[in-house]
Amino acid sequence: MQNELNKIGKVFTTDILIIGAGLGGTVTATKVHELNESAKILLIEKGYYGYTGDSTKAGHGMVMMAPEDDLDTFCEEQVKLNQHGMYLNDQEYMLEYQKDGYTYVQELERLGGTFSHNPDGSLHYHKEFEGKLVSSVNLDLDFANGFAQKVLENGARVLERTYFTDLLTNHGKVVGAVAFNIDTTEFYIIRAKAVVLAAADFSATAKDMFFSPATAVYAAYEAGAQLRNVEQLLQYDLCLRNTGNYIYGMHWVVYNRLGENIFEKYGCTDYEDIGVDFIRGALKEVEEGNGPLYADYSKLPATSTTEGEGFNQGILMKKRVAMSKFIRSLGKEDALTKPEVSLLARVATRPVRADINGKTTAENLWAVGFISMCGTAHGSWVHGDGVGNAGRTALRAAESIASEIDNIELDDVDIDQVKKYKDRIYGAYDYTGKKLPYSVIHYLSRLICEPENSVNKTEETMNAVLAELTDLREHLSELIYVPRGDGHHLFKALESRRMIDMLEIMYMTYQARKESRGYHVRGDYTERDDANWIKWICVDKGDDGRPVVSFERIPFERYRWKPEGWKE
Amino acid sequence: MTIKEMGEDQRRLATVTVDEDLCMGCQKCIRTCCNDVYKWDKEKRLAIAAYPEECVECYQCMYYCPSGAITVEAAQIAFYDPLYDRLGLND
Repeated sequence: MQNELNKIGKVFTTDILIIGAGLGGTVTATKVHELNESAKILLIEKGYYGYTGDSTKAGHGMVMMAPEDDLDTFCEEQVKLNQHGMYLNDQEYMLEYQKDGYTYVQELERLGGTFSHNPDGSLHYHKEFEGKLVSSVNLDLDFANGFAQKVLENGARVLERTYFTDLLTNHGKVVGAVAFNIDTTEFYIIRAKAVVLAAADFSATAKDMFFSPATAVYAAYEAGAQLRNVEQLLQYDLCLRNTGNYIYGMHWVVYNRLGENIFEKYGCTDYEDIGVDFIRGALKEVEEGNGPLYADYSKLPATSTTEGEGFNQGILMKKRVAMSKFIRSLGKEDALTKPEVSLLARVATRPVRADINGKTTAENLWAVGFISMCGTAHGSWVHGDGVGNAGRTALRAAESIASEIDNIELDDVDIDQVKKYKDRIYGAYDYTGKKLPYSVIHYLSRLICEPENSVNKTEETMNAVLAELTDLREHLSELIYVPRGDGHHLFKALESRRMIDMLEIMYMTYQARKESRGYHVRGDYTERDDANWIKWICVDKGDDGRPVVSFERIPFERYRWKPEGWKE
Repeated sequence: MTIKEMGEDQRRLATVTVDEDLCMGCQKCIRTCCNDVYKWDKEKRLAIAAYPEECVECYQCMYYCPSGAITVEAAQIAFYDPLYDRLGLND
């Protein structure tokens, strides 16, 4: 078999294959090595090792429960108030995930992470949001570097510029992956006993730093891993109208041209996230000619009114403005203190189902970080805690992999499957269209951000999107082309195909949930419907290769917090 | 508008340039770019902005470039603006 594989591509063999060398991947590798030194680890990364991953763009903080806070009160808040919760939580996972938050931070620090400390050496943390128990520790932009360095010191192998495309399976078990080198376009076949997906979510907004393709999520689905909570999430952030840069914690001081406060005018209550009432209010204001909207920094209090002092309180913004007096003296005060603002929609999905040990429903496949953030259904994730989620789930998954890897045999790969995947990748060279693949990604990004397809989506508008996706899939090969030998456009062609496939699954689940709940919002079912919709929506690959949507009962008989009126 | 009718809207793309006279070939821009904008030109031994359409204007390349060879000019329309775009107010 090995000889035959060698003819198809370059073959690598390892015990553990980690896909994605961002924070989740490097923390997993570091911890596995500590627990099981004999396990051979190979990481593949599409970018340059040590430079990539969302953690290099975040640099904010890691969310946790403060050691002095009460676990029950903290988790109740997550079930009832967190937009990711809203009774869709796997409460057993959530309690397990949250109980050791502080310990995980200490563990990450021991392994190479750097956190901010008080002068007496204790860990510095603060309450993050007004009136909520969530705390946050601060960290730096180069947080992942310590782990990346340790991975190399520990002798793991790293293949950078390697674009992962598909998982290899043998009788339902995951036995490796295929990939190609972006610079040389050489085809790689990687055989592994266990595979860890640490490849971020599908974040579909192309003109955004956090864009990430659907390739990994779709590969997991195709390999037989179940997806859950695909319909989460649609998030909006406030941004500067001229640049699109996010500004957090300011939406409650946004005014229209007439000087009316939008947050108050539309009865908004959520200081942490931009709620749907605010979004629809802002849309209406601009439509009615009351724009432009602007954020008035001067209306922020000098200090927090409650214990909240986090990023989202906007206080830091105010301090920044106070430091910029010299610019104001140039007569540009309004541009600084009353910038015009708009909204930026983030349509994403993080749906690979995983248990508390990071195990997916496909044998020998683990998932850590963003890719499984909603699939785990713990629902206690906080907007802005990508690094915390990656670090914590990676530590947990590493323990599970390290203990199981010695009992897993290296399985054969299916040669026909390898050939099929290879043809699928390089088949893009034969496309006959006139556009480059990125134009499809940009077009779809824009289409799904339109209010009628996102915050105000209805059965009718979603049918139109689905019809367009079907049409695009059928005609993609006549629409785009890939210059021969160009690895960049080759992976963009794959990303555009996967974007169509994954958006189809997303819109199918949007249609399935006939209510609005948390980060799932519709224009035709605007209310939360606890009587009918406290259940999980799952997606599996059907026998005919098409997605099958199903519903799963949430086992409230085992849970502490039950929705009002729930009966066994 | 469907994709088939859609032309490339240059106003939505950033302009990225590398000054060949200033570039020292250190490859820092290639490594820091999270969206694969840059490519290594083997013959000239310089970085080239091969895929500027991927630029999300994070300016990390400009920040890291030791010789000031890189210029990123922001797109005229920076993002898909759900409030103003559809009313033609960003045109």
